[in-house]
This record gives sequence, C-alpha cells and structure tokens, in this order.
Amino acid sequence: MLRLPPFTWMTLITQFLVITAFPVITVALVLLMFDRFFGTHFFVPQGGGDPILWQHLFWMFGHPEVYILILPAMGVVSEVLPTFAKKPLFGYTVVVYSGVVIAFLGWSVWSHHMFSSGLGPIADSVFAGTTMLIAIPTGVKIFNWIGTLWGGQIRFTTSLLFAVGFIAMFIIGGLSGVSHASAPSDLQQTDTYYVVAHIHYVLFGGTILGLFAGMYYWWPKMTGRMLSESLGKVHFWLTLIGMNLAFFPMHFSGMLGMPRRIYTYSSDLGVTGFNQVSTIGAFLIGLATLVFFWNLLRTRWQPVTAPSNPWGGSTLEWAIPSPPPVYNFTVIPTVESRMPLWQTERHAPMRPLPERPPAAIHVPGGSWWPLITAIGLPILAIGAISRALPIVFVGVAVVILGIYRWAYEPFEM
Amino acid sequence: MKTWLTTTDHKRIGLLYFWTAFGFFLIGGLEALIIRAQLARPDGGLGVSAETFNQLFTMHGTTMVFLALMPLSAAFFNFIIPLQIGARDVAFPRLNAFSYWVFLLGGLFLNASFIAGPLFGADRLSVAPMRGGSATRTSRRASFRQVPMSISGSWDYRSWASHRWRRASISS
Repeated sequence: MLRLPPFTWMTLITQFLVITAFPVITVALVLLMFDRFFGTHFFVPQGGGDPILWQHLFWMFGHPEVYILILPAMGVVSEVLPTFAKKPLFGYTVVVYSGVVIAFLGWSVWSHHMFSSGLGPIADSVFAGTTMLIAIPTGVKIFNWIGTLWGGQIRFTTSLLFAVGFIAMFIIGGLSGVSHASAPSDLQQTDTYYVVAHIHYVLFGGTILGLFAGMYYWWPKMTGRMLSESLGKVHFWLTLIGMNLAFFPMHFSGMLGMPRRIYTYSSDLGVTGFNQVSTIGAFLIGLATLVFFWNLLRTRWQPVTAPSNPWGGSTLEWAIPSPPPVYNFTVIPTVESRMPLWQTERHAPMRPLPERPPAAIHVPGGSWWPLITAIGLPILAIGAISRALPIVFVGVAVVILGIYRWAYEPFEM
Repeated sequence: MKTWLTTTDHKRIGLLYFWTAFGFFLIGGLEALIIRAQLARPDGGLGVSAETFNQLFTMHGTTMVFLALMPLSAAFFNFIIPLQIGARDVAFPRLNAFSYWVFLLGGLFLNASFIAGPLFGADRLSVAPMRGGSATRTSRRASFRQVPMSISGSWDYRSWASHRWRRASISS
C-alpha cells in the first residue's frame, strides 16, 4: 500500500470521509424535508424541536466536507512537486499518515462553526482545542512539500506555479482559520467578511489552485494535447493577483464589522474602499478564467501529439500513451517501486510495456441503464416538489425498473 | 453521441465530469461577479434586491462546492486513479456512470429553480432553518435546493464504491 501514488492515497482517504459524512447530511436533509413537506417539528421550537439540532447535524457533515474538498488538491500538489523538482516526495510516509490523521481529527471539530450558538464554555473550549490540534498534521504536510522542493532541479511550468501558489495561499487561509479556532476571537469574526476571506483563501487559493495545477499536469494525458504554457502563465498570474485583491481586503472589512450575506452596507462603516478593491479582484479572476477557457478550447483544434510522459513523471499513468487506449495497459504492470518510472536507489526504472496487447482484451461495452435509472430521480423530485404523488410513483418506478434491468443485463459475448 | 450517453469507460466519465463541472464553475463565477458588482458601492451598486441577492450567494456557494469543486476532483479521480494503480477500469463501471448522470441531473435541477421557482410562486430561498420559523412555510423554491442536494449528494456514494478497485497489479 505504501507504494501507492500520493494522489491515490489522498483520494482513498477522501472517500472514507465521503462515505461517513454524507449520511449525516442525508439524515439532516430528510428530517428537514419532513418538516417542510409533512409538518413535523424536528427543527421547529414551537413544536418541541431545536434549530441547534440542525446545526449539529449540518456541521458534523460540513466539517469533514471541507477536508473532502482539500485532501484531493493536496494529493495533486504531492504529485506535481516531485515531478517538477525531479526529486521524490519528501517524507512520503509521513505525508500519507498526516492525511489519515487530518481525516480522523476532522470529525472532532465540528462545533467550531457554532461558537456563537450558546453551547457553553466547556464545549467551546474542547472544540477550540481540537481545532488547533488539526493544524499540526497540516503543517507537517506543508513542511514536507517545502522539503520536496528544497535542493531540487526546479522547472517553473504552469502546473508547478499553481502548486506553489497553492502552498502559499493555503497557508494564509490556514492562518485565518487558526484565528477562528480560538472561541473568543471567533466571536468577533463569525458571520463577518473575515470568515469569507478565510473560506476563499482555503477553497480558491487551496482547492482551486491545486486543481488548476492538476489540470495543467494531466491535460496532455487526458486529451493527448498540450496546453499553451504562455497562456497558462497569464492565467496563473492574473488568478494569483486577482484572488489576493479580491479576498485579502475581506480580512479588514470583516474585522471592521462588515457582516456576511448583506446586499448593501452603510458608507459610514468605512469598508467601501475594501469592497471596491475586492470587486476589481473578482473581475480579474473572471478574466483569468476566460484566458484558461480559451487555452482549453484551442487544444481542440490541435493534433493529438502529446508524448506519453511530457513532464518526466514517475507514476504509472505516464507509462502509457496520451490519451490512453481504451484498455489502458497492454499488460497489467507489476509494481516494485513507489516511483516505477524513475531510477531510484533500490530500483531500476520499469521496463517499457509492450506496444500491443499479447491477446485481445475484452472491454465492457456501454449501457443505457445507469442513465435511465438516474433520470428517475429528478422525476421523483419534481413530483415531490409539486406535491403530485403520481409523478413521485413514476419516478420511483423508473428507478426500480432501471435497477432491475441493470442487474440482469446480459454479459456481452 | 450514443457512446457518450452509454459509456462506462472511466476516462470518458472523467472528461464528462470535467466539462460539466467547469460549466458549473462558470455559472457560480457569474453569480460571484454579480454579487461583487452589487457590493462595489455601499448603497446597492447594481440595484439587486435583497431576495435576489440571497439567492445569488446561496447558489454561488452551493454551486461552487457541490457542482464545481467536488466534481472537478471527481474528474481526476475517475481519469487518473485507475491509471496510477495499473487497472483497466474502476471496479463498478456502470455505478460510476450512474454517479455522473445523477450529478448532472441534480445540478441541472438545482439551477432550474431560477426559472421554475417563480412558476411555483415561491418565496425566499432559505439556506437552513436559522431562526426556526421558516421550516414550516411551504417555500417551494427552498425545496428546490434541499431535494437536489439529496440527489446530487448521492453520487458520492457511488464514487466511493467505484474505488474498491482490484489491487492485483501491485505486488506486496
């Protein structure tokens, strides 16, 4: 298992979070829909219910959700940095274990979203403590990424720029996050633009920059075409400048008391200037995104000529053509090393795979049943919303029929 | 076209996730730009009403988190993970395809509330029962958010199931 690429590891950890956190929001939403459709009182005080219950349920999902959002991007960064520093990921084992610890500890912090809900000093203190604790494995990862770059032979491709941008922006977002961890400090910050600054630094500066790094890294593998590096650099710098212009001033407007979710504000508040700068930054991000979109689109008119390993990566996806044939690998490779395509201390690079499969490979054909089954769900939903029971039944019938035909679908010969 | 609708190939599904997610990213971005244009001046830069503004930031957040960021990640999960572990596909290809279609349909449904909401004579699009009273009001437009959240949330179960890959290729 400790030969798996870091992206695969982070994804695996993320899926454990998904499978455990989503049932919580499902329950919360079902209870809410019962309140709305059938007049129950789970969350309604007048009927004996409690809105705090909603908050607990929602945030028990909501906090693991943010780790679901960030761990894959961290996985991407852990792939991109070694390739463009020509050095293995520093502290691979610790990076993997930190991911596990983050996922585990992520369950213990949810009420830091509820510091102003009147939980009491004991609950507040406990959650403040656990929240601060979770900064530790995160910091471990950051130092290991720096260790990966240190002393490496660095190529500043667009993908690497976004990965380094991720590290810097995520640190800033993490710092504002740590200031939220302190309950008294958070009482001033909660429901102000300071929180908006935090979430956008970690989500945009974190997840999105990380995913952009992944897009520039894996686009040749996925489509067989290279993205333009010059357009990519324009995209990167416009995005970095735009996001900092957009979100940094929000720390200040938040601390000056500008609340969230308001559609106007008084000029007496003294935050007009910050808002104007934020707006300029937002439009810069918009422009950067259009540049990126153009970069993506123009590849459609290019020939499919990307090499199998344009970046000199070490992991298995770079051992096959770009884009891969439908069966992926002519022969399933045997993996001895964590970096199969590189020469390491203990292992020679993997021998190239044969160009043609030794025997015909059977690949499953398509199926209509996933799509048909899926269509039953919105039909069900439309019936529920328009309070039309017959339509609900039609939706349920489509789903059941779809599953039945799916299960008994004959194997192709 | 038919091959795109019936595909169970993780690479194609990855590309479908990518383009769909990117499309939703642009929509969420547009919502953000309207919000920022409104907030550029103190007393309503754009003349957006309070109710519309509520809808805008609610949709911006929901769209970006659930319809853009998570599916963009899923695009890479789908395309890259089987390749990184030397597999031919995920363990349950049809379930994988089902996940994608549920995501697409849930996302379209959620955004349809902008058009269909007025048709149902709806009022405020609520985020959550913050003050306890609104849960009993029959706000159809709010249901437009909560119901598809359950639908498009379910795709994640499938994406987990698809990760029970065979690791036969890695010698231990």
